[in-house]
Amino acid sequence: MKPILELRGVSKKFPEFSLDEVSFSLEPGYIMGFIGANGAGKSTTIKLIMNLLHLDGGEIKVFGLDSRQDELEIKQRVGFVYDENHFYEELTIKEMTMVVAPFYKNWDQQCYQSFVHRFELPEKKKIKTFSRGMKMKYSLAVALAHDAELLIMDEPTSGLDPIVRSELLEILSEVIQDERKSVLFSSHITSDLDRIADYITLIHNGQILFSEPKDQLLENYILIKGGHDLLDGRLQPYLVGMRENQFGFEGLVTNKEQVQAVVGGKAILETPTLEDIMLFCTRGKVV
Amino acid sequence: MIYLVLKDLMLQKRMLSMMFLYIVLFSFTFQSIPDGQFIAILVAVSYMFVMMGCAWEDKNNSDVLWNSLPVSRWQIVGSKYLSILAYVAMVVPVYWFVSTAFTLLRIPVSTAPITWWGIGAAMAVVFLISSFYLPVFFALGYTKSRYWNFLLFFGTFSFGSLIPKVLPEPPSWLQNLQNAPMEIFWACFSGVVVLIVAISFFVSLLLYGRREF
Repeated sequence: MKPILELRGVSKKFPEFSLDEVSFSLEPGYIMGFIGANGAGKSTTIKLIMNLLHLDGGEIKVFGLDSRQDELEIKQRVGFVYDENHFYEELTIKEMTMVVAPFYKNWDQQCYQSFVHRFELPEKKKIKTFSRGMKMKYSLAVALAHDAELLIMDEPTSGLDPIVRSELLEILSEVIQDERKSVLFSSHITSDLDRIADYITLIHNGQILFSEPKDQLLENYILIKGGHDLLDGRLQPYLVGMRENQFGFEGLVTNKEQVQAVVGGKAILETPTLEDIMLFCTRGKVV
Repeated sequence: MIYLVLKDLMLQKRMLSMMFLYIVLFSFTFQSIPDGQFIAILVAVSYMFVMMGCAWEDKNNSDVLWNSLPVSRWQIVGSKYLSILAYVAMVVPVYWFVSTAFTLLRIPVSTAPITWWGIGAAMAVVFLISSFYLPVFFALGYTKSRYWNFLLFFGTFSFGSLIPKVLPEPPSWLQNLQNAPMEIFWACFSGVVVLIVAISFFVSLLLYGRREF
């Protein structure tokens, strides 16, 4: 299937940070969790996709179209939710929508109204009176009202309470039901992605460490906990990352069968969370 | 593009009461120049709205929004120039209201009458000042361009009247133009304004195209 989003060798240099040969792709009908620590390059990558930053190298294709040459056509079919509100705080959402909607060829006012009612957004109140969650919901209503095929979300859940976060995740699960739409969901709150993501892409210091199906990732990695006596070198080839304390160690390993053979019954082996994978993959060995 | 202008007007409508206040204030201030009072008020208030329009963009970091929507950069840039027309059109009826109120309430402030000539001249001056400001705004954003803006605004009103005294004798072709029929003078003047605005627009577009958000 043709990817809905494809980045190939994308580079961007800043004085103190650079994005280095970033490549990954997303197919229609899936949610990709884009994870990494703060400052890892998630927002930079998203800004490059949205053409808010100029590319230094590489290529970005959205719906098979060039993100620079076919920018307007692409943006007709893309919805975005950013970590901060960029709508005019002095306007009401009714006024804001009056200005934004005409730019979309596929704007569906009925669909928009249904989301406004569902999210209980007061149409006549200024955006500045909205809570963070309401602002995010308004962004989402705008994104969904023009039948966006690709939703790009940059840290949409940061600063939201668990109820609103849960509500958002439910909506996203609904959105991808028609198998035509996809979501790129950047977050450092990996528990959200544990619930909904199909693919996980991890970025660290401007480089992609992996971009894989979530299930495969959770099968490939094992969380191991044991005593210091197990650290005799035999685990070394399988260790991705590890931290030691006075009681023993905790680490992330690959190759479950061989690790089991090495440790026997002396260690606890558990399925890791995405947070474990992110932490150990990015921090390596911490003693 | 018209919706971007509409957005500017919706944001400015909240400043309507301020507009009344400014016009009242400037009516007192510019009483000493009865011939130019209407033009000066129209220029001052309209240009303040141009500035405020730019400040709203900065306050809301709206470049990220517009550049994420299916809106081209020439539309974003063009709308700021087009909004100037709308601002002048907004100020004229408010000026009429204030000057009428002065007369009816017998407030001892003399106000100049509204003329098409005055509206045209004020519009030209606002376009000219904005043409020198907007490229800097589109290149640097409002915060970094506000000192240049300050210089332009106050420079226009403080030193504008000094220019004829400081400049050397105008060349003969310019003197001929001054003596030419009004229609020819206005056609030439409008041509120069349109040319400056066009150059300013393309420079703004070029600089805004290079911006990153």
